[in-house]
Amino acid sequence: MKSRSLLALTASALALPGISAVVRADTPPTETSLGYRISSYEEDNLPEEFLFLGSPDRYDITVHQFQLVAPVGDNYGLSLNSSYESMSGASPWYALEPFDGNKSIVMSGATIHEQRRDYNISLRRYLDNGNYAFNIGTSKEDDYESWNGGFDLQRHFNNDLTTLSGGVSFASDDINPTDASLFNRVTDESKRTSSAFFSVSQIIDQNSLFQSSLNLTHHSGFLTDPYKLGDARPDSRTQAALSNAYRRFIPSLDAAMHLDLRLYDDNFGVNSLTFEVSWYQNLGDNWQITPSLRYYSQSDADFFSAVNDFSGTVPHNSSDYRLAAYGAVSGGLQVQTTLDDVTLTFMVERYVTDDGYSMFDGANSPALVNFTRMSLGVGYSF
Amino acid sequence: MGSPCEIQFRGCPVKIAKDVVGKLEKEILRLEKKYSRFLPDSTITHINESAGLPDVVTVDEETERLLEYADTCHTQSQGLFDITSGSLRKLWNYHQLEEKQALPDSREINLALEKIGWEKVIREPGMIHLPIPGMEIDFGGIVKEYAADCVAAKAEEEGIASGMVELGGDIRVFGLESQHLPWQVGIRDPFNTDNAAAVIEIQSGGLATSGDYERYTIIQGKKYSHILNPLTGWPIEGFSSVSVLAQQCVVAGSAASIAVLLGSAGKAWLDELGLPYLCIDSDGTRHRTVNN
Repeated sequence: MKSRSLLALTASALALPGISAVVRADTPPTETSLGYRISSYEEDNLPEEFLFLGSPDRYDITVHQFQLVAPVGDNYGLSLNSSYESMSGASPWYALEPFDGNKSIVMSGATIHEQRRDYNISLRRYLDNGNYAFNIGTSKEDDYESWNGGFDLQRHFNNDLTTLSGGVSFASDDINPTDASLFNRVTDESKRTSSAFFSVSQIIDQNSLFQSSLNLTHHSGFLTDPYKLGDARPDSRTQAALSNAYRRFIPSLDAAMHLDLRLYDDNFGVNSLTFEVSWYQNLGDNWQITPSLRYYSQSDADFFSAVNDFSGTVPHNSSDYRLAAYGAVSGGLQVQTTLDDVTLTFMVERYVTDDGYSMFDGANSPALVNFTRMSLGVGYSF
Repeated sequence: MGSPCEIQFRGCPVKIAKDVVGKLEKEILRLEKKYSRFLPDSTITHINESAGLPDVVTVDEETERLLEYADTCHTQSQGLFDITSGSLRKLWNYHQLEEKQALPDSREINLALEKIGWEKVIREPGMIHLPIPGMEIDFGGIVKEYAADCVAAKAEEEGIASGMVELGGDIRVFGLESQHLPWQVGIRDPFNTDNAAAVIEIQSGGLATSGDYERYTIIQGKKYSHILNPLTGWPIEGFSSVSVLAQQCVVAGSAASIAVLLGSAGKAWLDELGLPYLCIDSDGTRHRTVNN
């Protein structure tokens, strides 16, 4: 039993205002920060050997992103995100039996110019042992409008060593393809998406952390690509993904290793695996350089075929390369520097796909895409 | 605080650490501005300047609680821990005494003792009045330790996972991660201030040391400590230093101060208190219950 003197001193000490200040497991932002990033995404041309008709120039996309994060009162954080995307180039329209060697892909003409605008607002409340947030957003293109909203919650347990998170989100999309009468496209379709996730994060020791999360998503409605000829997909898709992350800080090297493994399955018949390793190397007080390497492979969807089936005898069919079996390897490098309140980030990534990289058997597509992505971002907090 | 200050964090990016340290410095300066008896505009100076005048001084909640804490220390130490013992310090001006090589005489000591006595202070909630001209209070043994606790609490609020704050030898370790990898902390050796008398591991809480190795003087060949007995007016003889480990640095600091004030009875009092300690006698003998 504690001595009476100690109890008296401790009780009196705990009444001192500065000693038992509120310790929040998560602290709301205490500074306002502004961020801007410009990204360029360039797909390689479709190799001439596969091009039957149309333009070989695939998509080039430029993205401008803005972010504002600001404290609101003592317990809230507000985050505003918006992005503007402009896209031009051609995409695969349909695939035929190979002709004159390997020529099978019919591309759209290089006439697609599109803009997308995205706005999202989120308000997070911070509690003693966790936080929760509501968010709402919209996304608009010429032929497409989407509204979405969500809620997520985080709670810390076990002396803050364990964190459980969960959330739900919903989206409603209206699809009104352009040139509908010209190409006999659908005119007024819609799609609903609901999604839920649950995640466990465990601090293993002061330098390492493991996180595992399960994400379930259900889409219903019009899931077909209206710009592809002969594309007909089921009107519901259920996806499940299990993501695992391991983070380890290595004090002697002033570096951190990030390992990520994601397993995915859906009722289109697509299974996939992603493995990524990144190395966050601090250099002095103000620089950080991060090389990363990612491997991705997926199986083909049940209704995928390299050549479109125009027989009308199959209910569902697509030659979209994103539903083919393939593998992809990408390597990236990020350099970040901090000068007082300003952070500059430059990132470059090269992504290469190939049937040969696939760990799954299944039908392949000649229209696989390789791309280069670069971005430059600036952040300012005050 | 007139003492060296050191703040260390673990596992925190340098940019964030710099931001947080800036905020912690402000917290230290805030407390210094408020409780230093050397600054003309501090709360303590206002209280002391009003001594013997008819007016009372209103105090805010933080000051009220610190006075309450001082009251608890006074009670628990049987009157030895007394924040009004400041006029004794003036009398025992070591610099002058060392130059003159003379001790204060008994008449001077009795005059000083008249201005001392926590029980003479008039207190109402939110108010204090020092009734005797020349009476003074100071938060030595409390406020520096309290500042270490405040700084640690603020750093935790800012999201620092693990850290150590040292204010002039008083230490506060905080954060959950400290429980996985404790901080190694040195206790200074009163006989060789460049060396550690012991290195101990702290997972959380405060470590404070009271003793005469920081401020002392030798008069006529004898070492006089800066710890003064408010009942006799004389420096305490006994321990060279006492270090105590407690959940709060302020508790560690006042426990160490009380143990030193109790002299030969200090060790028994610490045993009864049940907090880990390291006491070093004036001949260098060590008594310890702290672990390595």
